[in-house]
Amino acid sequence: MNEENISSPGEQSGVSEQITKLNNLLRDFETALDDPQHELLTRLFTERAVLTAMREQVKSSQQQGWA
Amino acid sequence: MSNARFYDTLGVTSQDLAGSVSEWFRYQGFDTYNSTDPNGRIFVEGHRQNFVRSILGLSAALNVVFTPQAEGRVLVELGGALWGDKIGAGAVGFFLFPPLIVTAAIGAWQQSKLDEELFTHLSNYIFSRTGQYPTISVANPYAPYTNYPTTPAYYNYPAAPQSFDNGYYSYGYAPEGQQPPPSGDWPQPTSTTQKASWFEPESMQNIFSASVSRMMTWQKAMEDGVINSDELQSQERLVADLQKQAEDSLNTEQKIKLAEILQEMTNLESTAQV
Repeated sequence: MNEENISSPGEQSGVSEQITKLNNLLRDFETALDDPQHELLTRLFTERAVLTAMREQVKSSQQQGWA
Repeated sequence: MSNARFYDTLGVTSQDLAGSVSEWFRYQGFDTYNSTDPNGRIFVEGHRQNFVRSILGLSAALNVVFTPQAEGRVLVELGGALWGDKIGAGAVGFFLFPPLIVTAAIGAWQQSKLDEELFTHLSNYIFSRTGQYPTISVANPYAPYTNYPTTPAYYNYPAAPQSFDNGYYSYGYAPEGQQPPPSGDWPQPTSTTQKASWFEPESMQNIFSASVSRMMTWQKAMEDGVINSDELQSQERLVADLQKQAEDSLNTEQKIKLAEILQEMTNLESTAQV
């Protein structure tokens, strides 16, 4: 089965809606922060993205090991 | 993260080099996309993706930029998908769901082998056209990665000194044969007067995922190409600590909003991993 067929258009649409919702929340939140808060939250969200990437890297390495 | 070299192309034009790279991408099974900006820089993007891998940021991607220099030389820059914001709004749409590319840095690391293969292709192509291999020199970025700020506040860094400004990449490269200025000479960030937005102006997507590869924590953990459990736990502690600091600085209403955002991020990641 071609991997490109795994995700249906409906699933893609759902993800897109989630992204929009998250970005709207971020926009609202960002405008209400003062500079020190903004800097701290920027660091939090970015380090959190690093953590997610690290977990994906571990998972990816394990999958390659099993293959 | 990028890799750049000055090429003496021995008369081979940037257009021809870009065409050969497009062919090389196609031969490797990549989709390819070319564009030229008003300054004559040619962008060639190679992308091998499908929906699932693009969500996870694991799609193989390599972007090549040819910037004509004096005396027929060409600056050739290679980079990952993070260059999308430099290509222009039209090309940004080529990427699927940029905010979800939390693992773009992983993909960038995995595809690092492509860099050398492509540089080799360029040298061979020039040889095939001229009978000579080109002279090549490595382009020096303005500052080593270790001197980058630990947060995306670099978005607020003023432009590099004009005398070194090659008018292109946000970090830029010193002109061929010149060393970049010492990092201590860099102007200080202006974040005290202007907040860095959480959104890219062109794509209007948030910047966090795309910033991963530029973070010191990521670069340090990936130095040996492997994330071990200690590094993972250390990052978990850092995030927990930052979250506590953030919550302590927020009022009740803001704390509720933060919790909602973090939950949405978790939901999104879960969806992407299904």
